[in-house]
Amino acid sequence: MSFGVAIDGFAYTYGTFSVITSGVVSTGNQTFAAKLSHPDITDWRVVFIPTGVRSPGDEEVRPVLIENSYAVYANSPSDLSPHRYIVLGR
Amino acid sequence: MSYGIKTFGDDGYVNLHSDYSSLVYVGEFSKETDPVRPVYEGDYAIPILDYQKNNNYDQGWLIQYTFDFDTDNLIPFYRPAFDGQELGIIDVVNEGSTWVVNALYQGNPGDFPRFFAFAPLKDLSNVTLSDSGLAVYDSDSNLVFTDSKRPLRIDDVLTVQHPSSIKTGARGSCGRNGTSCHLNYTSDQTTTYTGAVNNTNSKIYHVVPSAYGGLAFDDDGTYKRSCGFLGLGDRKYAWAYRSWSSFRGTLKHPYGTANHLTGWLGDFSGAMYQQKSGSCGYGGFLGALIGIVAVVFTGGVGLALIGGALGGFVVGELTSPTSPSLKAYESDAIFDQNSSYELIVTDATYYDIDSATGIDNTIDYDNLAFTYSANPATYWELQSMEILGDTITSSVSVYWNGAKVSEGSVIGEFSTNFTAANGDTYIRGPVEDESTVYTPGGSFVPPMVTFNDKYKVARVAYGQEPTGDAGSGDDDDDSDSNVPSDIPELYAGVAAYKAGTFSGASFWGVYTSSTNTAGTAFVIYNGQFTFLDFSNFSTGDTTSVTGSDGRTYYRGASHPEDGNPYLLNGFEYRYYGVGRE
Repeated sequence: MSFGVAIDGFAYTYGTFSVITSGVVSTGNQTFAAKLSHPDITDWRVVFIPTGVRSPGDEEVRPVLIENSYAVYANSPSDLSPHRYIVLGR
Repeated sequence: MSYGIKTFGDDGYVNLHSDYSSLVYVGEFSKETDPVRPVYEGDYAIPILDYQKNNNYDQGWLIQYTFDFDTDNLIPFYRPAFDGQELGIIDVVNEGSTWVVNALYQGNPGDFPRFFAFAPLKDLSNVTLSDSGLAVYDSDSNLVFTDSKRPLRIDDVLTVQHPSSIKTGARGSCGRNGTSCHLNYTSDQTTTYTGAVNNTNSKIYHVVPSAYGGLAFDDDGTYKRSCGFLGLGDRKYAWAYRSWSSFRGTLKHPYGTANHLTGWLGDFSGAMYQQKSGSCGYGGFLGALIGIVAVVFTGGVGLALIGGALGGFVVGELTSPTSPSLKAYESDAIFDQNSSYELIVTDATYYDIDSATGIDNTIDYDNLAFTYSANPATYWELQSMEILGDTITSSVSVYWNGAKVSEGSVIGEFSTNFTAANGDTYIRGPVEDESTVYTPGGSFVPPMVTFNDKYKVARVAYGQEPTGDAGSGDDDDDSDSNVPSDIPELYAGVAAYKAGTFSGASFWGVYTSSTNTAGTAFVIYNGQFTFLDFSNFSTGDTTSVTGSDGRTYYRGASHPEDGNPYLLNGFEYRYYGVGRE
């Protein structure tokens, strides 16, 4: 390796995601992370984990990620089922 | 960060940062239930056989996994069981320190995928550090990186979405004769996303699809037939048909390509048919029929599922809170299709996860087909005789391989299926032969009109969907069966066998004698000996065997109603059901 970290001969040069923040999605817009607070992170992803049984009979809808140059946040519909979010970054 | 450590990977992105926890592999989920394919089985249900679940309703297998791990954040990954397997996570449920995944997959029931859990390192309560190496803590003294728990390696990441329709091609139709009719709801829509890394058998994937929906069809109508004096009257009939297939968004990842295809796989289906007749009259009128599907759509799907339809998901008569939720559709619909979500790809070998499937189960069903035969009689017969416009008699007889299997049972005129005393279910197929005979009246005998309709018939053999239990003493107790639940279990023709013929016989037999106390097993399947062991390769305790045709046969449920043990000429016989792969 030309640069980077190697531990016991193993080079950690691959790509990965770290957990920037996590929490519970609530109805309405919610900012997950302001990008200015995380200047080292340039690629943002959000994983939504439904934490209950989805009821198709209730026509539940899942949260939608919205990202702009300032923040990542969710559009959480009123018929949202319980979800957690995990903001990943690299 | 004011101080600490950060490093970058070859991709130019941060891959270690002391402000943020890494994601690490924390264990594999355990399979909690056997896979199931539930269908509607309430009022007016048309039976849906296994091959129809495959070919008409595009149904996958529902299954549940659990993993005990105390964390608020957990990301599941899955590994398909075979190249191009279509599957999807339906639910992720957190109950205390247990995480539950409900999933849907394509293939044979034994082709269930494996699931792996990843969680933030800082959520782990006990982490063993290496004797030498690197441990990184954040400002709150949480461990956020250690070389003893390798962080999640990202091989690829894509944002994906499901196609905007489930099927655009023709699906067919069902009408008046739709007593055993099924449309073709098989999805033909996929969207391909191409990543940067090829799929292999060691790749594992995280994605929780959002989209779901359904396809449905219904139709109804009326018709009339002559009746009454010289056939001058009319008897009106009304019928209604409805069926649906419910779908969930799924994905598949063909090996040797970087493609990821979003598509649809069915999780619950149903079909119904109802028919009624009015009275015979001249210009007779039949009032309004038929609230056919009100039965389903007001009573709730759960009520329409027979016991055991959701297999291991059901606790007593109550559905477990973590059971997947099912929906019956009245018309085509799609929900949440326009949501996008992340597909993350990594490699199992990087975490020392073995890549073996642990799966070797390729069950080949014997597809059941509707048959009509005049000799030996194998059909469903509906006879009715009317005198002066009044229905005097209406009877249904069901014949299978020359035997009248409906003997002693009353079957409704418009019934579409019938279960015999031994548990065999017979399903009415399309009408094959119709005849109408008018008999003019005499001085003392009124005129008559006689209808005789013969339908094709299919048989679902005993034990395929048992409802009894060991303590109920009923005939469909299969608690001692060794036949895998997804293989039809046959049991027929024992009485004929005792009388010296094998025709139509399908069972597993064991006989013992004073000189052969260990016993000897034999198998007759569809009237043919497939395993007759005079050389004592098997005993009375044998529960599965490879037959002379190379197929594996399983010993099924015992049948005390046939007098087990049955004594004859110094031999003691016991009879069981039989299933084969």
